[in-house]
Amino acid sequence: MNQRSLSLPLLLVALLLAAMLLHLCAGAEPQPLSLVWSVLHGEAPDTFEAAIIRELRLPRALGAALAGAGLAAAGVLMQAVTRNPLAEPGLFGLLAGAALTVLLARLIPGLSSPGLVAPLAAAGSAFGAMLVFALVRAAGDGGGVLTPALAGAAVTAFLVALTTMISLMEARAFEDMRVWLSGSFAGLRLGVVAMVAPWALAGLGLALFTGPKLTILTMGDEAATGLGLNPRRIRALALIAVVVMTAAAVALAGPLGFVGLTVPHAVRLIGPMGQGRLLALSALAGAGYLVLADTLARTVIAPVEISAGILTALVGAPVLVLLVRMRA
Amino acid sequence: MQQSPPGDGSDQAKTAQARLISLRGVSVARAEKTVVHDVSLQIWPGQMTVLIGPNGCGKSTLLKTIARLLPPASGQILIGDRPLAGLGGREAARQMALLPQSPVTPEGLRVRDLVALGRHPHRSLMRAWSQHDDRAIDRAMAETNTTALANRPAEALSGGQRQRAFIAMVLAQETGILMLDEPTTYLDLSVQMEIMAILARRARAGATVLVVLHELNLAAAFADRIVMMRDGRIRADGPPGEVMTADNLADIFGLTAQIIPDPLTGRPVCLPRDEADIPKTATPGIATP
Repeated sequence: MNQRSLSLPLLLVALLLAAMLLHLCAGAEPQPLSLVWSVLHGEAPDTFEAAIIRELRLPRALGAALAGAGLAAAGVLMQAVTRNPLAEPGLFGLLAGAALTVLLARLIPGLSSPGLVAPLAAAGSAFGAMLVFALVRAAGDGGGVLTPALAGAAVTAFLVALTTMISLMEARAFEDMRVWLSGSFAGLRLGVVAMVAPWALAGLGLALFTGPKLTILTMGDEAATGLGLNPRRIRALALIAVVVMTAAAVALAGPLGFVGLTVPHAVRLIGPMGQGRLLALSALAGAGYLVLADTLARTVIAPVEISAGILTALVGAPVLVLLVRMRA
Repeated sequence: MQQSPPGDGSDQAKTAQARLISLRGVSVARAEKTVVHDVSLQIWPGQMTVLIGPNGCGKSTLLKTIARLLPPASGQILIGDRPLAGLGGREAARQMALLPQSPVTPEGLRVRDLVALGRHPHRSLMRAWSQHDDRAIDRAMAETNTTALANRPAEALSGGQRQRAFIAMVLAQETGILMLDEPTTYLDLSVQMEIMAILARRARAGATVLVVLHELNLAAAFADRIVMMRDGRIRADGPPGEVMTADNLADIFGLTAQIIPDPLTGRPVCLPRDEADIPKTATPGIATP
């Protein structure tokens, strides 16, 4: 590691921390940095303003950083493993699968405890990914980049329709889920962040371990085997990391689309780099991106709030179109 | 030419022994069909052994089986005196390197980063990047004449430059055994010569070099030993001067050819002939299938 290779990650860490401070200060009622600082040091007076920062904003800032890092890293892994630049949790059915299972679990009395949300989301996102995989298989070979994207779109549309149907049929039971389903950190409590953080961090750890090996895997399975790797094992580990990180993000904020697409492709614009570096930089940039998105979500039309998921979709959809056009 | 490694128990002999590939009754099946039948073969260090044969003869399959890409249906493969099946992936990759046919160039890497991937089997969580790694990369790049390309994006290279970079990658792996599947295909003749010369130098330095080739004259010009395959079996095996005969080419390749000695090296040169052009009188060094 030379200086040049470390300066960019350090810059992104600094930007992330700055974005988090901004997130804590800004809001319907902006608070001074000095108050935020004393809250973070646990020295704040027991005032309403301090409580807002500690109880409402801090969990959201932490949750947004974890979800953003996880979703961006998941996008990098999926793009490398599938060799498809359009791969990301939202477009390949993982988010929709996770959202549906979390919603369904609400209907079953024993399954609605908050501690179960992350594992249920993991099962759901794995289910969504499997549906897409099965559909690509059924469509046969030779579809290139678009077949998995189309299969992902079909599965996502199907799962979202199911989710909408259930939430409309039981409108009263899912009143509070409507905002969550649009991808929002509103109402996120520190307890939930603490429960989900181990999932997100475990997923990120696994991703950072797998990432550098994916560079070798992109040369093809034969070359990778020649260099001592087991391609199937690497792909399995990458997939586990993707599912775990996606589940953590869904448990924190609901189905937040396009982060795994927008962030890695923005980072690629910096210049050529291997998969390991791309992964680390994308995770940092993704964390900062969602913290900023949530800051905007709370402030652009304050005191009304919009969902971070709506903002990421507003940015992500044009990026998707741009990518498809660049490939064509 | 096909000498046994010296057995005097010295370190050198032990190194050589560890680079010996032994196949005992190896059969390989692909898609339920047996494509390599009961092959027994020893591939010696210090030599370049070239596998040739018509399309579908099983030469690539045999190479891939030795490289752990395909499991043998029966038989045994030994690296030195150790069964290949018992070697872990990383351990095997420290002893033998493979350059497959047309590997994909990874996006976003400089040439030096690509060559550095060859150090992967030597790295672990415990072992940090060392000067030895850097030296191995420098040597491999000097040997393949890619030093000047070090900072170029690998994706931007020409076909010949890219192949030399990939060869640098497998040389940086610092293995006693080198295996290459058609490393010269689609390249300019000058690049083909360059690549074969690099491999021949490594063989002379003591490595076991096993190459699958398509081009008969390239094999005849550089190989120490040629193994000819057809229908999954070995049909001829020996130094080029012995096996590169018109009869073998007619038999094994179904090729009408005349063999003449290279005026400079004395190695055989294969001249493919149209049967209509062959005079009725007997011509030396020619045979029809």
